[in-house]
Amino acid sequence: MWSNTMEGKKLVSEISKSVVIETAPEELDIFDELLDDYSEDSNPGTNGHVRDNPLSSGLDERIVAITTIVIAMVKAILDFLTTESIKVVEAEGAEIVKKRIRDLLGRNKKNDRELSGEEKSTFEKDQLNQIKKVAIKRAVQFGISRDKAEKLALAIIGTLTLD
Amino acid sequence: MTKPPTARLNPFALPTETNALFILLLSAAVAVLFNTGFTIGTWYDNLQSAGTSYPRIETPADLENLSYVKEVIKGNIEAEKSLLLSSFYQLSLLLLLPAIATCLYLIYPSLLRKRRGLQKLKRDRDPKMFDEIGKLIGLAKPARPIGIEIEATSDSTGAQAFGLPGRYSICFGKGSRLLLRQRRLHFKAIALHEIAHIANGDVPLTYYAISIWIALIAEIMFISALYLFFNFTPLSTTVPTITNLIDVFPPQTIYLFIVQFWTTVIIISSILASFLRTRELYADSRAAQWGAQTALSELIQRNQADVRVRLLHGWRLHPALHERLFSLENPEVLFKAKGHIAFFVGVLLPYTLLGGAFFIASQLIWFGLPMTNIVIVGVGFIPISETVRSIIADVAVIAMAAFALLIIVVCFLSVAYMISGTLGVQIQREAIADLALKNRASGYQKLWKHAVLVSMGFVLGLFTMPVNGYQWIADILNGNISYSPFVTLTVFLALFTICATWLWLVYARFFSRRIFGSYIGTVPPKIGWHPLTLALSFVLLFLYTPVVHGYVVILHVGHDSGYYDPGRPLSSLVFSCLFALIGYIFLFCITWLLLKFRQFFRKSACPHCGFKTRARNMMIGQTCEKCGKELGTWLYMSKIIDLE
Repeated sequence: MWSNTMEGKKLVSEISKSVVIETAPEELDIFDELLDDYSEDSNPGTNGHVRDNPLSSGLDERIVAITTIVIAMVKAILDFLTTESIKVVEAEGAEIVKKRIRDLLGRNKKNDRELSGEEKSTFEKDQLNQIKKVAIKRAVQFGISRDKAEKLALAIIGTLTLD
Repeated sequence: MTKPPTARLNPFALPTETNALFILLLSAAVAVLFNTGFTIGTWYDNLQSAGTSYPRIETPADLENLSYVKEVIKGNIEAEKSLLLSSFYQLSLLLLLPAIATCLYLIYPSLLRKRRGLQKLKRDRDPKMFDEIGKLIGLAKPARPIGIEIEATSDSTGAQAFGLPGRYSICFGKGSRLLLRQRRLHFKAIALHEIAHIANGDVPLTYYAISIWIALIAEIMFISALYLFFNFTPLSTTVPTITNLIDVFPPQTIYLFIVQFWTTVIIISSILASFLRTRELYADSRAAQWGAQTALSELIQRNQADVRVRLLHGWRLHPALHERLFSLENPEVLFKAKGHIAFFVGVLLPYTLLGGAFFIASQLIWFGLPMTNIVIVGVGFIPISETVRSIIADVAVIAMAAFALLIIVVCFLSVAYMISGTLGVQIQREAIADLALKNRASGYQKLWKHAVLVSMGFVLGLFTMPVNGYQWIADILNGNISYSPFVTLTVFLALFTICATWLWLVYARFFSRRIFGSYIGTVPPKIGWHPLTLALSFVLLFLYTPVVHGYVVILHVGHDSGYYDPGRPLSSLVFSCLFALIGYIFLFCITWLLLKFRQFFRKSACPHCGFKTRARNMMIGQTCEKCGKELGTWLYMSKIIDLE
């Protein structure tokens, strides 16, 4: 997937950071480490595994960072959009796909758009619903409640659309 | 005198249950290896010298026959060699235990660091966490700095205190960094719980206890393997094989030995598990004292809601969560004498008092006897006057008797001190808490429960101790010898143990209330409990005389292959019971008089304002007439810190 390339990772990091500033600012100082951890292991099953240790306090918990969930959700959205865009512009080539995604996510500079005489692409209501579904599905895999997942998904969508 | 203010009792004012369980574990390991070593030594010795009997001087005429006297001396030297060989097994096993355990204990911090991929937390990596923990460590006022380490892989929010004395560290799961950011107070509670382990001094005890347990299991496995190897491999005629082993011991005895071995391992493992559980309750208590009570309660409740975690804790190396919650809210429960301590003490009684002290004493005496014989017989060959010869012989006999008495007192007193320092101290704690909380109802009656548990443990211990008077149980099962003397004597011993233990516990409670109840001050009595524990040991020695006597009778019945004259041993047992009872009454009266004497000359002054109070007894739970402050401040927690 494109999200695994350097450019894709940078985009995931940018969007996630914007969301984390809003939803979990207390995790911001360890954002980069959590991003690295996620790159190493993105599997929610092994993340946060609690080993029963008779010599610990006995109050060990499985705790997942909001940052990790947001990164996973953003990456899922990006992967979804890549797949969808490829379907639409299959013949137009990878560069156009990337440009379209960046445009959809509001990451192309306004000036660039004006220079090329293009209009900003926007999500349709149906698309937004699909994005929300994808994001919630991914978040729930990390063991958080559906309510919380929905709130995070809305925060991400807000960040994407209000730029 | 006014009523005391409502305050939390300080569970650390007197030696804790954690210490008691550690002492029990250590005693159990030593006693088990001693018994096991004796068993192995006896087996090997019996196999090597089955049917061998040494000549003895029976009549004065025997002394005239020089070659016969030489035979007697040779026989005595052989007997000494045989005893030395048997002792060699015991000593080897005993010395191996601390050697292996100490090695494990010394290398475990490195092993833990390697296995968990621990990394030292430096300030530049996470200043927030580093500073937060630094502040919390300050509450414990450690003599040396405590290291902070982070696990490389685990996302757990757990933490663990570890390290050698003076070089302690706390390792945190990576999830702790998140916990600090998401739920700061919960992070603080977990960190304080671990710091509390260091402050309570249970970190070295925990890891040494585990090392001892591993070393013990390793030794027992090794012995079992060796045993199987020797007995099921027809290596040579010099090595015992299954055929000649069965000639000496019936198969039932061998199976019984294996069952006894492993039951003992289970008992020791239970003591270890109990120790691990108890230390958590005390760490919670200390953390609560530092202001983490609410946060800890919340954490416990969160875990209670998590079924998965609860199931993981089913094997109980941690206390049950409801138990933790209850003890956090009611710290006085940590003063209650627990039934399991009484039971463990009961189980260990035969191992330590009979299998340990009794066997050490008898072995050393048996070692001394041939030596005395050699001296007495040997002196006959020296050309000296008859008078000098007679004096030397008398001195040898007196020296032997003094040696035997010393050995008996030292061996039995050390075991009695171990019991007094564990169960006795727990009873002292309970008595003091009852005094402070004004719980007067059924204080002495509830001691029966402990007495019964000690007796139940004692009977179990008699059957599980690898070398014991019941090793003829296999013969009983085969119908070779009658079971009735064993049943009669066991019932007698069990009933007598209940009564003797209850009397002993009454002594402990009665005098704890008077000694600690009259102690006033701001700091706990540092050495105050030692004299009482020593007195309790002497009382125990007197009270348990019939128990040892009964055991000797069992040994005789076993040796006589079921020959039993019901009148003879029971009448002698009645005599030793009377001796125990009179000794108890005597010691009780002496202690009471000494206390009265001490009280007469002692002045009681308020530790806060120095005002002389009227009360001379039971100061706990009372306040000064002048300043209104608590007289026994040492028993209560100091001001609780606000974690916020």
